[in-house]
Amino acid sequence: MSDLEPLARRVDDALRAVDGVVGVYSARPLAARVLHTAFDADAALSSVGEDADGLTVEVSIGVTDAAPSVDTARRAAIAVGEALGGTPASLTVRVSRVVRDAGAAGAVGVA
Amino acid sequence: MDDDGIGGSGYTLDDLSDYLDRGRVPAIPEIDANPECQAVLDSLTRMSAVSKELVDTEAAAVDASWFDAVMREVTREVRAGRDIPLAEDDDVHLVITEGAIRAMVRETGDALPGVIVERTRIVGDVDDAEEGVRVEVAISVAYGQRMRRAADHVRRATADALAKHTPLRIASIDVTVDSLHTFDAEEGER
Repeated sequence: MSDLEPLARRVDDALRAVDGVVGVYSARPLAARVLHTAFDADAALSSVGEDADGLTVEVSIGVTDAAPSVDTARRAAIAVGEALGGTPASLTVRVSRVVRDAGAAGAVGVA
Repeated sequence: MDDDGIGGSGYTLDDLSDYLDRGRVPAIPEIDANPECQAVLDSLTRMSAVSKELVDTEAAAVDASWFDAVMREVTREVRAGRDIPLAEDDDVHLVITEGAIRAMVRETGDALPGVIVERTRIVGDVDDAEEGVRVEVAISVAYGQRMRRAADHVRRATADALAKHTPLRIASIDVTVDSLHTFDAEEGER
């Protein structure tokens, strides 16, 4: 587990608490996702890296269609910022699903 | 789908169908944490409900090849594809995937009574704010429904969903009635 794994888990938890977020998904690129699937299925879903400029964070979420996706994505970005505790970060919030009926989203266990 | 399964999950359409049949238990994190798998599972759920309805009402034998063709389209459409910017603010980038948009268009059409979406396409350059994109939706309409009206409903619902959730400039939404299916008029379809 990397040093950033606990932070990534905190980001996951913060996203799950955002109104309108119905699913949190793996943010890793496809190749990394395949490796992740094979070796570490319990790893955090959000991707948190670090370089000289600070943190690089990528998250992938499903949102309900009740509110415009951009509004929910903005709330998600704020929640991630709070989870990072003010640490400078480049953040990408990727809306990977827009779910018509949150109750039938099939996101049980991840949302 | 490629060798890595749907969305790189390692699971095939058959695997997802089996997972659905088992009530999604025991939970498989690789599937539950994968948006493409989730979109396919939702489509399978909707298609299964329609198929069961048709069988229960003895309205028609379900054409397995048609079912398979629609599900193949679903697995193609849910691929994430490109990121489309929703908003940019300093170091914060908000994006939506093409796959999410295609799945949303399908779900929007499937939610309308008497309509099953067979195919969706987003044609054109999503970055071209001048020309915009053309959205193509092929649907199957329940026998007895007015095709023109069904197509109009799909077009309007799709336009509303795209306007609400994407920044895309939509040049046109072309809805094609590709086939008819039967359903029980008293029980409804779903």
